[in-house]
Amino acid sequence: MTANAREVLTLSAESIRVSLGGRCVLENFSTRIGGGEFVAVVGANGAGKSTVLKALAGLITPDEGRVRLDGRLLPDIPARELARAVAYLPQDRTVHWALGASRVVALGRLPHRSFAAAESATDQAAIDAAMVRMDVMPFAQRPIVTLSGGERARVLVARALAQEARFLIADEPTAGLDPAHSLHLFEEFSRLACDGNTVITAIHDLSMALRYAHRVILLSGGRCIADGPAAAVLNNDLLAQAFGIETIVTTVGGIPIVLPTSALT
Amino acid sequence: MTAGRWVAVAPVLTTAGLAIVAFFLSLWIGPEGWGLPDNPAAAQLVFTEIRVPRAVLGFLIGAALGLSGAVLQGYLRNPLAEPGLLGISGGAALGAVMAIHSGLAGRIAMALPMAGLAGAAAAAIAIVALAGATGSTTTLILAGVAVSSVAGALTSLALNLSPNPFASTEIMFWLMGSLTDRSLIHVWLATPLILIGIAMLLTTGRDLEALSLGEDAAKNLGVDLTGLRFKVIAGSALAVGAATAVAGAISFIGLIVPHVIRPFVGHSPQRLLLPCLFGGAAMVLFADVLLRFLSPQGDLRLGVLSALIGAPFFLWRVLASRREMAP
Repeated sequence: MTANAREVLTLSAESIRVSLGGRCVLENFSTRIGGGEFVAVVGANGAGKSTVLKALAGLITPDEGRVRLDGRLLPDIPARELARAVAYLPQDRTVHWALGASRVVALGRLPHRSFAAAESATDQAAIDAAMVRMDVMPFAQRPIVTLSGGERARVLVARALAQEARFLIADEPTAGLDPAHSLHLFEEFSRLACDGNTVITAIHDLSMALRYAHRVILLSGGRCIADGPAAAVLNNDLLAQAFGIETIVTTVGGIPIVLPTSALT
Repeated sequence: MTAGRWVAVAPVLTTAGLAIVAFFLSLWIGPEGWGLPDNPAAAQLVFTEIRVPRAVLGFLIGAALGLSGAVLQGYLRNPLAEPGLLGISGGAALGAVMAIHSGLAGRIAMALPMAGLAGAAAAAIAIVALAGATGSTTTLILAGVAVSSVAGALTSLALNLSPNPFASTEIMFWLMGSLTDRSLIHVWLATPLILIGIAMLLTTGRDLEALSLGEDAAKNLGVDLTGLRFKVIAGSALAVGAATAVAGAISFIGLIVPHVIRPFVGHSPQRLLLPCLFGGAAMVLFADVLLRFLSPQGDLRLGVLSALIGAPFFLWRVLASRREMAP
């Protein structure tokens, strides 16, 4: 039996419902993502973006419905195998100890190493490649607590890249990044998607979502109100419905732009 | 990579070397000074009945406290965590104090450590019942504080209602922690439990390292948080419970040792574990040797001395971290 090296993995949610502290935060959510897609999850604060991402990463178990990775239910997949398939980058960027930046990136290799085994040459190569990609080599040896917020964010993205998972789920990875590094990060994500990986990211920058994402999932009040090609979802009507804003959607020099102009009351 | 390897290995070798030196000093130095009595029979007796149990217990108890402190700080991601926080040493102390109070300890030699172990086990069960097998670290800290408060209150009550001044003095002295007059039976009782506890705690390194990024990221890296919690609580209960049951409360070791060693291992929770095991052993043994010079009659207690050495050390760390973290 020869497994297809480019076998398409899909991550799918089937009518999932999640409640936190007795309050329903996500209802009847279904999606099917995979095969080199770059998906942006968009919505107002509290719309359920982080919940969708955590449920897809297997970090929270839905009250109803199921999440599957390539047909298998997430709870049936051994933790380390799941960790090699799906990398999750939390919104919370706290690092609790003054670890060196390269040591933080190396944590991404934990699922690839057997117990107590030292880092192999493959691990080291993945760590170095991730650090180069996120432009964090210049402060590889510095303790993470001495880095700025944006530098720390890039180190943590490098950690997720070093995991070399087919799925990368990132919760607002560009928050706090300077314009150059946000652009750079989304270029990197696009490249990952071109290489056949799947990127799922929550983002507030609608122009970036429109420009880079293949597909947008638009959430409002814990429900999915649109799921489709970025250009089809990010239009005035749906944005008014999801965010309560009036927007201008246009292109400048061939680059699509979503500009919020006023809040609807 | 050789430089990186060396960073990981050097602290282990250094602390292990210190612990070995302290162990031999502990075997070699008595309240009368260097060496053993001239009479060969007496020398044999002193060595096997007094020096060996004291040195072995000192090593194991220090190792248990240092390692448990490092694991708890990593697990709770709180540099103020220490073995006493979970209430296990409080439970062990309460058990032992009740054995003294009831007069059982006076009649049966092993009643005191056995009651201490029972107290530690009861405390561990109470913590798991209160905080659950899963759940947040904050709940675990709160459960630990609740259990230690109850144990502390009941210990005070036993002291308050002690039948005679002699019993209350005995309780007070026991609470201060000591390695004097411990026999080989104490060694046989505590050693297996401490070793099992240490073995469980030593397996947590990877998971603790991943937890540096928070629980969600750790889970995504394949960490089984429920299993980790079990290993942390059960390992600490076995190692620290057995240590407290035979030696009383020896404070500050589990808090100070990880703090002193952390900068030398690049603040890594995983690389901290072995050096803290040996560092804790070295610190308890050195303090116990120092005690024989300072107070040959044995009236100064080990727990008091460890606190007297530990507190200024901690003050120095506080001032140093204020300089590093200057706003």
